[in-house]
Amino acid sequence: MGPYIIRRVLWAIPLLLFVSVIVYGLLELSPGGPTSMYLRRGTGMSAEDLARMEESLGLNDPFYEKYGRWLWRVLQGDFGMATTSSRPVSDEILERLPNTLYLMTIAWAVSLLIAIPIGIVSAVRQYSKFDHFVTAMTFIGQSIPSFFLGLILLLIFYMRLDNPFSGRPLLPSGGVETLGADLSGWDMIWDRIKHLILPVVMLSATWVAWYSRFLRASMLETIHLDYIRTARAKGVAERAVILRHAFRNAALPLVTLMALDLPLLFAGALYAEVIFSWPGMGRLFYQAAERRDYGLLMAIVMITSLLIIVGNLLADVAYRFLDPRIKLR
Amino acid sequence: MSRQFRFVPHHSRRRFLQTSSALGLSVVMTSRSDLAIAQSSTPEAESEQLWYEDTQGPPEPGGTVRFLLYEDPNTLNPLLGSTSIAVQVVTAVLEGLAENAPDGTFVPLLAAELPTPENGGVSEDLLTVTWKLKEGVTWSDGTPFTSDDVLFTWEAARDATNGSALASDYELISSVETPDELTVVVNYSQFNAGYVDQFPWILPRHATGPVEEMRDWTFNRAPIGTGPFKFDEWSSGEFVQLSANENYREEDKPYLDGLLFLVVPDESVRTAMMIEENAEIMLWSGQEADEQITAAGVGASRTAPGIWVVEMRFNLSQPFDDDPGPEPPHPILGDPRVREAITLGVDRDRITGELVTGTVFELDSPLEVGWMDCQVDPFVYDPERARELLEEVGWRDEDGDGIREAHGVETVEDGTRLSLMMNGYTGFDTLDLIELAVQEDLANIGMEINIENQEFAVIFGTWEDGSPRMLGDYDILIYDAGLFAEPGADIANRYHPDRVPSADNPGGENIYRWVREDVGEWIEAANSSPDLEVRRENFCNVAEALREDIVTFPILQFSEGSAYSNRLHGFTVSTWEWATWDAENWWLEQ
Repeated sequence: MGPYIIRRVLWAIPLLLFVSVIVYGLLELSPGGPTSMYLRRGTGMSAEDLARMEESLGLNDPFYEKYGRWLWRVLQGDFGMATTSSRPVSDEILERLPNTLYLMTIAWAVSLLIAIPIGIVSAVRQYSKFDHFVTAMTFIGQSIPSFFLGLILLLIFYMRLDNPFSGRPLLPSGGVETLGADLSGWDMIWDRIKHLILPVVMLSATWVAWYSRFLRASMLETIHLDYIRTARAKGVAERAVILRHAFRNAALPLVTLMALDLPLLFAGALYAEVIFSWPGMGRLFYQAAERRDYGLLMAIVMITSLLIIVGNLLADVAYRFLDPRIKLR
Repeated sequence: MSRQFRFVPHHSRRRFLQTSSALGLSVVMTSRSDLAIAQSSTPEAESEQLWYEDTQGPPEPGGTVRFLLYEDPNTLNPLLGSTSIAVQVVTAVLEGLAENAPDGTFVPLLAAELPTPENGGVSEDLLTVTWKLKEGVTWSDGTPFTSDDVLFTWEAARDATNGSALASDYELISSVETPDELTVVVNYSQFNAGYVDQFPWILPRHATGPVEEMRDWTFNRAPIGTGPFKFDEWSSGEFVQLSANENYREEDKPYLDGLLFLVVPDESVRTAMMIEENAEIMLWSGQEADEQITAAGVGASRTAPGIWVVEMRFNLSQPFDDDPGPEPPHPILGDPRVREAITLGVDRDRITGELVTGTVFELDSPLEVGWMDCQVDPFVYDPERARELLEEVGWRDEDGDGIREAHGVETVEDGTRLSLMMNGYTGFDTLDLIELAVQEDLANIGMEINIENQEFAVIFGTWEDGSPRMLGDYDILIYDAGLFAEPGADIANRYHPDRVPSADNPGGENIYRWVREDVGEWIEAANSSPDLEVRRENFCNVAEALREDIVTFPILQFSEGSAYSNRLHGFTVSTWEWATWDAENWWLEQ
C-alpha cells in the first residue's frame, strides 16, 4: 500500500504540470488580459498608461517566459499577486476559503445524513409508498436547475413568508450573518443558522438526490446476493444484516462519489454563492475569470486540480480499507 | 469626477443601460425636444435641468443607507485604477480639489476657489496654476489637510513604476511647490486645458506609505479621506461599511450615520431586497427591476442623461492593406455620398422610439454634450434621397438580388457588391438590436451590412494586441463611448489629424483615419485656452466638420441612473459624477 501511494503521488507531479501548461496556454490564447477591465472606452485610462501597465506586468513577454516565471514562483510556494486588486493571491483565497468550507461541509454533511437513511430504507422497502415518494422527490432534485430552486426558495422564504412576530422576512436573503447586529452566544448561532438554511437546502437537494439514488441502487444489488441470504439464514438480526452486512458493501461506490466531490468543498458552488450573496470561492473564481486575473485563476485551478488528484487517491485507499479483497498495486 | 477615473469593466457596461417604460421615454423625449426648440427662442430655457434632484426637507439625521453593488470593488485607491464599482465607495471617502456640478461645469471642492486667469490662479503664460485650499479641512482621523498632501498625491500618481494607472495624466507637470499650508503651485511644461480636473482625488501623506511601495499600502483597502464618510470595514465579496466622518467640515453633515455597500451579485435578489426595504439604492437597476420596485410602491428609478453615445464610425481609409495610415481612401466609404446615404437610410426614430425600450436621447454630434453642447445640422431619414445618392455614385442593382453592384464606380471594379462589414462587441443586447435595425434599414436602400460582433477585449484592444480598430481593418464600427466633463484630451485623441493610430503612435484614437489640418488647429486652439467660450467655439467647429464630412453617425445617447427608495432624500443624480458624490446631503425618512 505504501509504495502504491508513493507511486500515485509521483504520478501526480507530471499530471499537475500538464494541467498548468494547458490552462496557462488557454488563458494566453483567450482575448484580453488583466488590463482589459481598464480598457479605454474613448475615455478612461490613457493608452500610454495601459501599455505601460501591460509592460510592467510582463504581459508582452513570450509565453514560455511568463509560464516559467509563474512556475518558478509557485514552486517556491508563492502564487504571486492578484493583478486587479494588487494583493497577494494567498490573501484573496484565505479570505474566502473559510466561508466556503463552512457552507460546503455543512451542506455535505447534511446531505449525507439525509441521503444515507433514505437510500437504505427505499432499497429495503422497494416499491413501497415511501420508495415511490422518495423516487419522485429525487427525480425532482436531480432535474431542477439548482439556481432555479434557489430563486424559488428566496421567493417563498424571503419575499412571501414573514416572521409572524417581527413582520420581517422569515429568512434572510443572503450573506453569512446579519451585518452590524453584533450578536453573541445563542443569538449569534441562531442568526448564522438562519443564514445557512436556504443555501444548504439548495445545495443538498442535488446531493441528496444523487447520493440516495446511488445508495439505493447499490443496496438493491447487494441485498439480493447470496451472502445476505446466508446471514439471514443463520439468524442474524435484520437490522444487523442491513447495516453491517449489506450497507458496508453497498457503500463502496458512494465513497467513490464522495471522494470525487471533495474538491467542491474547496472550489465552492457558484450558483448558491451568487444567489445567496455568499462570499465564497466560487464567486472569487468567477470574478477572477471575468477580470482575467491570471495569477488568481491559476492558483484556484491548480489547487482544485490537486484536490481532484487527492480525492481520487483517497477514494482508492478508502476502497481498499472498506473491502480488504481489493489489492492496490 | 474626472475622465481619468471612469474605468469601466467590460461586463458592467450593459448595466449602464437605463431602461424604463415607454411612458418614461415619451416624457423625456418631449422635454428634450422642447429644450431644443426653447434654446432658439428663449435663452432662459437653456437652464432647464435634465438631471434628477430630490429636494425634500428638512433633513432628518440618522440611519444607514444600504447601497447594493453587484460585484466586489477591486481597490479603494483610485490611483491604482478603481473599477466603476470601487469608485462608488471611493467617492464617499476621498475628495479632489474640484468636482462637477450637474450641468458639467467645475466647482471647487477642497479648493477655496477655481484658479482662473482673472483671479490670478493661472499665470499669464498659462504654465503656472496656483490653487488656494479651503481652510479648516481635516482628514477623518483629525490630521489637518494641507498643501503637502496635494504634493504627495502628485508624487504618487506620476510614478510610472509603482502601479499608478494615471501617470500619463501628470506628464505635463514639471514641478509642484507648496509655499504655505494652503497654497499649491503647479508648474506645467505645457498648458493643460484640463488643469481644473488635474486633482480629482487627494491622498493623505500621513496615512499611506512610501510612494514607490504604493501597491502594498494598507490604505488601498482601508482609505482615509476628507469626504463625508470614513472607512470602517471591508469584508471581501460581502460588504464595505462606512460611517459618518465626525471631522467633516460641513456642520451637521453628513445626515446619515452610515453607508453600507452590500455586494449582492444576483439581480433578482437585489430587486427583492429593494422591494422588502432591506436596501435603499440599487445601482444601475434595469428596466425589469425598476418596474417591480415601482409597482411595489417602495422606490423608483432616478436618472440623468448618461455620457454613453452609440455611434456608427466610418473607416475613411482602405482596410486590410497592411497600412494603418489614412491613404488610400476606403473603396466604398471613401466617397462622402455613400456615407451620407447611410445616414439618410437609417431610421433613428424607429430605433429610439420603438426598439430600444428606455430613456434615450437622439443627438447629431458626439460633441452635443456637457458644457460644449454643440448643435449641428440634424441628420434626417430620407431613404429616397439615399437611393438617389447611391445611383449617382454608380451603385445600381442590375442583377435584381436587392443589393447594388458597382457600375462605373471609380474606386472599385465593376460588379463589386455594395457590401460592408459592421463590427460591434458581444454581450450587449441593446447594441445587437440597434445593429439589426441598421442592417434592415440599409438593406432597404440596397446596401448589404454584415454584422460581426467581437469580444469586447478584441474590439477595444491596444495597438500591440493587434485590435482591428487600431489597425484600421474594419469598415464600420458601432459601439458606445463617452466624453467626460473635461473632454479636451479625448477630443484631441479622437479627431486630431496627428492621432491616427500607427506603430509610432499606438495610443492614437483617430480610428476614422480622418485627416483635416483645420480640425487639428481648432483642437489645438481649444486646448490652449483657459477660456470656456473660446474652447466651446473651437470644439463646435470640430463638431461641424464632423457633421460636414460625416465621419461618424450618432444614433442615440443612453440615460444612466439607479433605483432609489422612496424613503431616501436629498440626492442628485448627475451625468458627471458617481452616485455617492453628494452623499453628505442624503437623509433617510425614519
